[in-house]
Amino acid sequence: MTTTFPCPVDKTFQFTTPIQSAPVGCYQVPVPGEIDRDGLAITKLGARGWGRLHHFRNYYNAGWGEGQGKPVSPKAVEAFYQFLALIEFPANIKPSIFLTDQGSLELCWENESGNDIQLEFSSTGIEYYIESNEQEGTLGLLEIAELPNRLR
Amino acid sequence: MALDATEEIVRAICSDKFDGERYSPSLFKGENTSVSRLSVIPLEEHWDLFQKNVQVPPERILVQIGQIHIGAMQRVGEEHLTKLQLTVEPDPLDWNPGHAVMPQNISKGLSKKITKKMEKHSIPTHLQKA
Amino acid sequence: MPESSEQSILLEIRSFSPVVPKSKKRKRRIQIIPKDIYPITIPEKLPIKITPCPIVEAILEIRFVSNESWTNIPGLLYPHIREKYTRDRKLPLADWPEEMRRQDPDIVHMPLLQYFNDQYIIQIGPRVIGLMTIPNTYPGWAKIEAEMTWLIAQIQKANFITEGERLAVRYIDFFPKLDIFENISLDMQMSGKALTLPELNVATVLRKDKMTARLAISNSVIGIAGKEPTTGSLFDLDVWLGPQDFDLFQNGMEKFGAIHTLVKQTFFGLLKPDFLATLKPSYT
Repeated sequence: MTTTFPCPVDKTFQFTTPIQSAPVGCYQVPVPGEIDRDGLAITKLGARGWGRLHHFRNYYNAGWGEGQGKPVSPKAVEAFYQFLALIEFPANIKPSIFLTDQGSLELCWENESGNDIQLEFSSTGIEYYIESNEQEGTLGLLEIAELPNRLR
Repeated sequence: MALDATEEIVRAICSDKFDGERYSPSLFKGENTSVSRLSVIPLEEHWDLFQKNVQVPPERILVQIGQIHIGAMQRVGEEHLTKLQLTVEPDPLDWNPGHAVMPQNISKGLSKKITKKMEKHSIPTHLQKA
Repeated sequence: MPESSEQSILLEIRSFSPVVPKSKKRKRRIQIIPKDIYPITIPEKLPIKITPCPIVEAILEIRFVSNESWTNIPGLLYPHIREKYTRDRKLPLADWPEEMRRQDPDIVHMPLLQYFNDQYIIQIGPRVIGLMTIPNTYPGWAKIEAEMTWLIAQIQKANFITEGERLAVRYIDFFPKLDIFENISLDMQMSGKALTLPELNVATVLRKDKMTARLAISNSVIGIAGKEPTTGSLFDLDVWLGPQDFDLFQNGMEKFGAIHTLVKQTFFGLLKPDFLATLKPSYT
């Protein structure tokens, strides 16, 4: 899996090394109505995070991984974009995005002091963990707007 | 019957759980996390084993194998805020006679600490797809 | 809070009394709703019917994620629909190896199989199920609505949908031997002059009331008029709700109704009044 820009020109998707950046030399037409979201993801997550999100949404179907992987939750994706619109990450930090076996999206980065912040977006809510004060908690999907304040 | 604390175990790290910079906090999260025993199958043979049975290109690629001493991992569990006694139980499979599981329900915080403690082996160059 | 051309914040403040203990105060809920982008004037009255009916196809579609693999899904659904849908047809995409289908995000939501009868087609894929009218035989919204209500009940019994992803209504209209751009309220210019080109395709995205609409209009397509192929114009409107804005088995049909209303409002809102008059609109 590429971790950067998914190039649609090469339909056989013969990626080279999975982690390194791929040259950006092609275009992609996003799903109608999602250009703003794609722009947001590129700005906040960088090419790597945007590419990984694209892959999780499009290529990870039921039974991925060792057979028990669940596809990414559409509600989790929706909540994820809503959060991206609200949060400002520390300068020069591009967070990492992962897919859990249960179909949740994880977002991880470090705050200005270098302590971990971890979020997990699922179909029912958002779990958060703040390393600096070992704080953990859960918010419902309708409470996303409170999340940036909790993370300060 | 739990494995002895002197054994070394490994876990496949695929691209959904490592992005080149950070590891997913959920690498060990949950119950019955799969691991593999180096006492049964040496590390060099795990690459081929995992590539054939765990990775699903192009979306999910094996990028690293994480190795940890069971005793060291158990100390992490004991020192965690909410102590957890970690064990590893043998669970041989057809494709992996060294397969084992960690039956305890590992939290994300503990998973992160175990991941930090692991020694990470990157995929040998000759096994990377050209 | 970052500025965004897309995002606006709807602040919904519920009742608040300063004497109420803090723990009992209602939470201030902030919803994040994309801005409406809908520069179409909705007519006061919407016709029930126009003649000739330009509708080629109407499709009510549900996109979903499932914990079931594709091989199981038809077997879960078919027992519940087989008495009404006695014929089936595998679509060409079904013959692609799953490895190849998986690798193309453009086709991940496309159907692989159809079940049909004389009135409707049910098409289904690993992440989509839809009810489609037989081409050029549009029976009216009331009948489609009734059929979809029945289909949703069967889908619920089949129990293969883990989570809904998108709820959509798509209408495809064909106007034979007509340049639709001369008959809709959509003005374009090139170098300051009105754009009138024999081959013109316009696609855009609109937003209203949490619904997203993809509108594609072309004046250079081949369609069927009567039983003969002919040139003409296409008006393709697909409107949908996202995963947080519907619950398929709780309010799915109500939401389909709301989407259908926006489809009508958009279509009739764009038609110029004198063109609409030629279509003998009926309001009762």
